Amino acid sequence: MSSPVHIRVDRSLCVGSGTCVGTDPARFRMEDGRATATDGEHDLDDDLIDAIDGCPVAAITAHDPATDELVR
Amino acid sequence: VTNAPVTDDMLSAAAVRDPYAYFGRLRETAPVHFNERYRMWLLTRYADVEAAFRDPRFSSDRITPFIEQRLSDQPETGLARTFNILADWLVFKDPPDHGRLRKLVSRAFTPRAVEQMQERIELIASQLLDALPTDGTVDLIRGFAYPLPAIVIAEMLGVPPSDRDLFKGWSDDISALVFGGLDEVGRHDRAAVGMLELASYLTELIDHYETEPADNLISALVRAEGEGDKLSRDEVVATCTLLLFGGHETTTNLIGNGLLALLQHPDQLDHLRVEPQDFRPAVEEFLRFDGPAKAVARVMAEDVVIGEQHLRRGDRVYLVPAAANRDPRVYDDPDVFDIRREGPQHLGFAFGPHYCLGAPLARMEGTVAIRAVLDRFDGLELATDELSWHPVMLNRGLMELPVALRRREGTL
Repeated sequence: MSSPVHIRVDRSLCVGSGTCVGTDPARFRMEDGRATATDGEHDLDDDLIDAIDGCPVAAITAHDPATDELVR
Repeated sequence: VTNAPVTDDMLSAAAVRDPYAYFGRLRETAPVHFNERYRMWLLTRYADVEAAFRDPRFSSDRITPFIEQRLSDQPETGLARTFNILADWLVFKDPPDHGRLRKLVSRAFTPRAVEQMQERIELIASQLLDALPTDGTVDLIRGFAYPLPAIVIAEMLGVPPSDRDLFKGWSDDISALVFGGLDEVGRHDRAAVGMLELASYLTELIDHYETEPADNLISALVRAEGEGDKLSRDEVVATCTLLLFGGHETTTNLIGNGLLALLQHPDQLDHLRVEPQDFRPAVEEFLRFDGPAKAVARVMAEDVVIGEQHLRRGDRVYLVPAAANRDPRVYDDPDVFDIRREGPQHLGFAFGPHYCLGAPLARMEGTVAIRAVLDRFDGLELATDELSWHPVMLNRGLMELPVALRRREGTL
């Protein structure tokens, strides 16, 4: 069981490929042609890791909710 | 910018030589323009091009309508079979098939996956440079920019090195069709031969990796095919032809056009020698200033009105990054090459669901390749006054890049 994370999408990098939405529709959605992540804390599970690693422009990051430290 | 009418020939010598002047004049005088000669719309402003990339009414499937209208009475001909393969190319698919296929292939091309390949790509670049003459004038397209991405994608897929040379001919044939538009009948036959030979070669290779899986993309695709209805055999063959083809032409042009821009701006070339970390923004500027994709073809799935223009269902549309990337509404001094430029992303890899799957690999190859040339030679000079460009509508690429080389002291 992994510790919870906050998800961040850098919308200035996002190119709207929709890869994250296809990989992890529970956490990501498209807004105005760019991706956005659901607020709150999430498990860093396989779907989320695939969405982060699969982003073609590396616009998605996961952070420790307490320290804001980059987790992935 | 003048208000003189723009000639309708996008393939005129002047427009091929300088598409930026040609499309730039359209962008400023007729941003949503119907070209009577080739019977297609041209969208040239950044905002319109970006919006169209995101809009599903601008469909990527320009192949199915062609098959239905032109080839339905000749299903067994080589041309019909070629178009059936093209119809399975990711770049021509719309949702939902597009997402399903793309997800399977994209894993191999993510920034993280590509990072693992850097050392290997550096070695390939170094070996290609070793093979060049030690001094004198060299065509860096033929000797370097062409073989580098071809070797990388062949290795990724699992094509044996001894078979690599087969692909240049096939790739050139298919290129004439895919990047030239669908107008000229003559080039269809040659493309069909190339495509069918490539498909038949790949089918054998796919069979081979089905019985003897290895650590390569073909084996991964075959594995996905085995997992239920995820990928059909036709889709595996089509995807391999697309990846091989995509790996050949466009990255060659990123390397070639990028090198050319640096040769024409020696101060910025010198800067990159000293500050190689600036390759990151520099690659984006290569793509913005003179990228491999002049235009990207779409076909209207529904009627759409833009300003005073009415685009109708079935109309063909070219979205023109070559114009959008130099839109003065978005970039300051857009015709100036500046490797440290900041600003919005260029549209050279498109935008939205069809954003170039190979972008991370292309960026890596472009950086590694150009950096390797700068590291190896301290004298680099363009050795021609007359550049020759491929006379095709969608692609921007040099036929040759003759460069006078002088090797750095102390290197082989």
